[in-house]
Amino acid sequence: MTDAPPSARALRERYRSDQSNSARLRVLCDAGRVLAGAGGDDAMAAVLGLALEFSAFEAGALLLCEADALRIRASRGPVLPAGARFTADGALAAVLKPDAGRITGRIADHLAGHTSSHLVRRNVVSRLPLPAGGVVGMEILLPLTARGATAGVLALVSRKALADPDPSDLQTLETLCTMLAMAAHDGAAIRPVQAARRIEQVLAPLTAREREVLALLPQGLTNADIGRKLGIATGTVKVHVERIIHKLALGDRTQAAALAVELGFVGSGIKP
Amino acid sequence: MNANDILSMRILIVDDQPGNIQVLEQMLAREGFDNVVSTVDPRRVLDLVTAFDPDLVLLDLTMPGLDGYDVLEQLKRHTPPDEFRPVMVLTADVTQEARRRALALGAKDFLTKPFDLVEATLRICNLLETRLLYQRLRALAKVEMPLGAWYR
Repeated sequence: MTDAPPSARALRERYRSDQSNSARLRVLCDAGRVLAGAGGDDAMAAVLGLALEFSAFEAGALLLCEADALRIRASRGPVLPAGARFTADGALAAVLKPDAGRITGRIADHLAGHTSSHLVRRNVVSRLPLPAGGVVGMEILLPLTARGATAGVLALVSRKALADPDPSDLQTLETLCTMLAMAAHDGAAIRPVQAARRIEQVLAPLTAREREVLALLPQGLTNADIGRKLGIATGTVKVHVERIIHKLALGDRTQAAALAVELGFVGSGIKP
Repeated sequence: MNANDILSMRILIVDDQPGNIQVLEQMLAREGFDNVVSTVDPRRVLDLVTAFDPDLVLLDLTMPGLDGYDVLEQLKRHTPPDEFRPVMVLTADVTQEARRRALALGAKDFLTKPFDLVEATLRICNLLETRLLYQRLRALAKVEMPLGAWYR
């Protein structure tokens, strides 16, 4: 019945660690609830607010990729307002690359094999704060990565110098970023730069005519139908289809049709 | 340091029960404190701390949504390590667990309801006195150190 009383210090550590974990869990639950609801810009702004409240940074912005540039989708505090658009270069470009974290931001992580790709920068001129060109004490850039593509960046800015962030807190923010990236994908309002590049890469070996034929395959048309639509002979269509299958190293016509759907060619043959 | 220095300091009351807030407000007003702000919504505490910059926070523990422990954690995250902004917990929870947990999470004092109004005021004045001394000390030492990990 009479256990030795715990040392006050151990007790304090335990209570503090429990409460920190509960705060981490709460920010993720709150974000999940927000993103499961309305969605869109308001949800993005709300999640940014949660991230700032959680991390104690004074300002932040949510930047989404948009045709080789970044557009601010939501911002809080003395940083560029929503709608501002600029090219992704420097640190922002670095964090958009899949391997960015291994250059500077990699933290000693207690999860073996966990690759974190955030950038923690100190005393740098950041692109985000107002007035422009200001030096910030600390800036954290986290990529919004989901399903292998990077949809944008979450930037947290503090004008004051801060010491190293807690690894568990950074992991929480990374999870938050994945949730934001999923929301951005599903919103379909943006097409990540990487995805657009990938489509271009896949289609590169094809001629213009072959691309037209590929785009029509998801409709399940016969060679004769495709020929009529494009004003070419049935035999020519057959040759085009065979070349597509060969160039893209596919098994058959069905696989080609599936790939066309995956690349965004829907039933109409027009890209969405 | 004179009585007016203490009486002009800012106090933030956080309690989901308007009745409890009223008791505290009347108690503080009778003593001569005229810089008191209160909220029944614990989710507003961070904004209020930023905007109002209180010298002392009087915090209830049992609240819906965000309880007093959560607020203590939030305040700890948002308070630089070299900052002293005392929090006094006032609660109906008389368990030892509650006292230990609140004090471990950074509360500087702990009172259970119903409390003696005079004792509560004396404790409040003691905390404010410490805060005042901290502020004077900080005014002397101007060197700014980097803040601890995310203020923790």
